[in-house]
Amino acid sequence: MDSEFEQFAWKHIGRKLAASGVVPAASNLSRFVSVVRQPLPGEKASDGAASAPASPDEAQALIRFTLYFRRADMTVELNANTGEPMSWICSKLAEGNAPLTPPEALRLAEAAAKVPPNAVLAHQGYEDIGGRPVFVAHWEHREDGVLVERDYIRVLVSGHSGRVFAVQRSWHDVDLNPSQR
Amino acid sequence: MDEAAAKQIAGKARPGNAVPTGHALRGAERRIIEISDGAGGSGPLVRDVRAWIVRFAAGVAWVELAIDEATGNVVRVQRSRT
Repeated sequence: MDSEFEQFAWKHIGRKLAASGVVPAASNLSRFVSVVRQPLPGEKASDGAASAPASPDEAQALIRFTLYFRRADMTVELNANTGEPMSWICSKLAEGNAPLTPPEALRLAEAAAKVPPNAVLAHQGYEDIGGRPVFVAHWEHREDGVLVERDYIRVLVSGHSGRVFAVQRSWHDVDLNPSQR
Repeated sequence: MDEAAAKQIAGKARPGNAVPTGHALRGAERRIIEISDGAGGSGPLVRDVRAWIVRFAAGVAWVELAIDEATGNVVRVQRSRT
């Protein structure tokens, strides 16, 4: 039923667009718009078909839905064992015109990094990356001052938009006992 | 184990770990490294080790011996590809 409803919604949107002079390809429409059915009051969220019309004879049925429009691509890496986010990047967030001073950018980066207690800020500042100004904040993992190899957090703040657009995180709790990671 | 002791152990371990005779001792640094101890139930067992990383180099070529701070054993050898 939900996929039928999606088809209906896309066709409806397609007709509206066509009426305004835009003729989108059906495949493009589903790529840029997603239709998510929402439960009605008293309806179970996971049982979207519960109050669906039983047959085409039921000419009217109330359906609540949300339309999501694609704004940008975002790449997210998750740890396959723990499910924790390892990195994300969304280039769209680098677009704009609201540059920040280095202290402002660092505050933003710290909030995005969720800096753990043993993180040490190794370097920070604006760099030219691909011809664009990017504020880079890089934390190392140190236990009692000793560097933990391969652990780091790196946050990129756009010098154009003043927004965090990428976070990379490789971090673990030091454990001297053998375990599976 | 202090830095001098780590360098001494690494020096003695050179022949057994194929450190070329032309490589000179360049320094040592303490680090916490991950070591794989072999296979466990559903994957390799890994532990952290406090180690001295002792570096030998000649030009751009290098070899690093990781000396376990607790046991004095060489627990890892890394070398440049050159």
